[in-house]
Amino acid sequence: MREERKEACKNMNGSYEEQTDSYGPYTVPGSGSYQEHGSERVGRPTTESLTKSRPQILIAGLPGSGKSSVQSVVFHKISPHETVFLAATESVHKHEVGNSAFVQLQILDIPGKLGSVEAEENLDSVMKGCSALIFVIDVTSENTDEALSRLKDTILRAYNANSNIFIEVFIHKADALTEEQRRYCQSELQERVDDELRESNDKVINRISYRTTSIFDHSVFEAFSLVVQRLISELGALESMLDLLVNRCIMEKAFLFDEVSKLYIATDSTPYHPQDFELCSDLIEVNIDLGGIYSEKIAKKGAADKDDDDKSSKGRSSTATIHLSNNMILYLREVSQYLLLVCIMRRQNFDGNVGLIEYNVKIFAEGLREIIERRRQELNLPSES
Amino acid sequence: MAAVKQKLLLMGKSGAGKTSMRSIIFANYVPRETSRLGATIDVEHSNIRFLGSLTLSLWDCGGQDHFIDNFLEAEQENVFKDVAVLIYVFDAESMETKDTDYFRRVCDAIYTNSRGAKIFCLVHKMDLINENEREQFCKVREAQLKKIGERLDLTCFWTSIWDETLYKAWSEIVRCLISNLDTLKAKLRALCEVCEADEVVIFERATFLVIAHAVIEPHDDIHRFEKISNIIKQFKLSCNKKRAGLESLQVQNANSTVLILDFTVCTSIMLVCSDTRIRPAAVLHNIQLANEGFKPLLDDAPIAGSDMLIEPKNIPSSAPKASVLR
Ligand SMILES: Nc1nc2c(ncn2[C@@H]2O[C@H](COP(=O)(O)OP(=O)(O)OP(=O)(O)O)[C@@H](O)[C@H]2O)c(=O)[nH]1
Ligand SMILES: Nc1nc2c(ncn2[C@@H]2O[C@H](COP(=O)(O)OP(=O)(O)OP(=O)(O)O)[C@@H](O)[C@H]2O)c(=O)[nH]1
Ligand SMILES: [Mg+2]
Ligand SMILES: [Mg+2]
Repeated sequence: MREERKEACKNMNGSYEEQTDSYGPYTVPGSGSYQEHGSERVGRPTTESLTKSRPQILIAGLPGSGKSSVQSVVFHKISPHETVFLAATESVHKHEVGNSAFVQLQILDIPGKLGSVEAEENLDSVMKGCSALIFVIDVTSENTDEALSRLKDTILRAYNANSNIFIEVFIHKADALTEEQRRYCQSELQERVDDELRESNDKVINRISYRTTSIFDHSVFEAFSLVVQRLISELGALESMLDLLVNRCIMEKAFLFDEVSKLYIATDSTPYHPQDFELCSDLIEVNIDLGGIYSEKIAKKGAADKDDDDKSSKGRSSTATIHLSNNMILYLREVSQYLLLVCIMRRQNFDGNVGLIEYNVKIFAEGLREIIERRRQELNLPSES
Repeated sequence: MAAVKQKLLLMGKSGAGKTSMRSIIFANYVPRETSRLGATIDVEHSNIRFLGSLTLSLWDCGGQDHFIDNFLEAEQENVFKDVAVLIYVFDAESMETKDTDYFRRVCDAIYTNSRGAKIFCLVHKMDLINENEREQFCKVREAQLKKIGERLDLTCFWTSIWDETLYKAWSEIVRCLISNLDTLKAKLRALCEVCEADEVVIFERATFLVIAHAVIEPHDDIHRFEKISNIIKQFKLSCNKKRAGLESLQVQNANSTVLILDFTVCTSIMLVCSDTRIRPAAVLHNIQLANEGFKPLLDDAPIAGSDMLIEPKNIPSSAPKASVLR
């Protein structure tokens, strides 16, 4: 019955995906030919030079493993429960992601179904240009053997096409598993894959990371954050800047987030707890949602009494402060376009020190600006105005 | 003043989503967790302290045919007498003549036993109806249901556990049971003016349902308060995961400041200011001063802090459910 409904809704709604019917299977459409939601939203032009410099991430896996879901939930803000309406992907879909300076990507969502011989050959050239490969494996599926053999083939193919490629295995739909099962599943899968690959090519083994994911919790955002971080060459610099900030302000933890995707770009070197990430990313959501509700009015109001408001409002970047009952403070601050700093602090280190904290955050933002400026020059991105 | 106990019947066919909505609003479930709920046997009865002066006596009535038949026949008087509110839940995706027939019989039973009761029809699981067809769908259904309940005071809502519509409907439902709402609104308006805020909203603290609001600067989005209920409730739950309560939240964007904080024992308050010259500290001070004046309206009657909410989650699913019918 569930299946029936899915079919019906699919026909009524059409699919969520872009129409790229004019492109044959496994041919990547030329850049700039259409705009993806993300880049439209931030209003940045998708020029030829710009898209060329964006690192590509290829998402592969068996049909129905959840490739399009992962991509749509993380980058298109589709609600997880709405992914049941996604139609099977029929050809390669290229999604331009242009959020903050650190999340400039092209995501290639390919069909799980095997294509024609020609299409399969084309895949090799696609892989050559990719910086990372994500292989999605469905833990709820019965045909583990088929998934494993596809996993092995895909990995070897990607590695042969491009030995610098980062390989990520998403052990997906893990919402069906308990915490313990997640760990077990991951170690067992890793062992099996390692065994199989050792026979054919043992160098590739070190390039593979395994993560358990689900679109119904934060794990897919956490995993994708780590994928994106592997592609950021300035990561070390960002981390030491965060360390410095955390030290100076006696913070418990600090994250630098890409606002639109809610991926974290970097964090300081204090121990990482998944709940900290979850809480910080939920705060970003609250910040976005409340901002969304109360910004419409502002636009209207701003038009009415322009000269009065203009000065005071333009300079004000977004901030949020949360007091928790366990004497912790969550402190959010916009530090650059679409980049948010979110910190966890003890109340005794926050109260009375707000001025100092703001000053240090300002210094951090200045350092960040330099890094971004250099990055923009290297990647040929238009500079922030 | 002792707390007034009001009886709410929650009815509708099996699988319509009655226990789901009750668990989300009153027992801190997240929507996804409702897929694990089993069918309700007979009636699950819960007493919910809502504000100081009100206790909701909620009867979650199992929706399988033999249960409904029993309620309508042998148990009719027990179930349908002294009802303040009937909440009848329909599954939007499968509304059949059988459902409307049952609804008709339930309306008759209400008319016989509790003529003054308010009826709320919640056409639920609207997320499963194609967006383009919703408007037409609602029009047809509303006319149909209003016809059936024409002798009664009936309101229709279109709900889904996946968005704020659930909070909209339940806020309206509980608001019709709060007695001193007008006094409260007047007081709130005064507070809003003193703080030079654009708007002020009071939420019940545990459910985050909207109790009352005062709006000075008009806003286009008429559903914003329910959206905020939903947003903040979700955030409170994620704070709880870290074993921490949410005490206050202050968000400043371009040129508005939103403040949400604990107010009286039973409530939280939200203030929105678009005048950037207003200092949050001053607003906080005003709210603290106002607190005393609002207490009698909101927290009156003894408050038993911890037993405010029933936690069905703590009941092992295998344990027999308390039934008020036996
Ligand atoms: N339980 C659960 N279901 C998921 C998850 N991710 C995706 N799904 C479901 O898996 C189904 C298939 O998802 P798709 O994203 O269309 O799969 P795909 O890999 O793109 O499939 P093809 O395009 O045919 O290759 C959908 O019904 C999703 O709702 C997850 O994390 N948990
Ligand atoms: N799509 C969708 N599913 C919902 C919604 N609300 C509830 N459900 C699902 O509907 C199923 C049945 O929900 P219940 O709350 O147990 O139904 P009930 O009305 O209490 O049923 P009985 O106890 O047998 O009378 C659950 O799997 C819920 O997850 C909704 O708004 N949309
Ligand atoms: Mg797909
Ligand atoms: Mg039930």
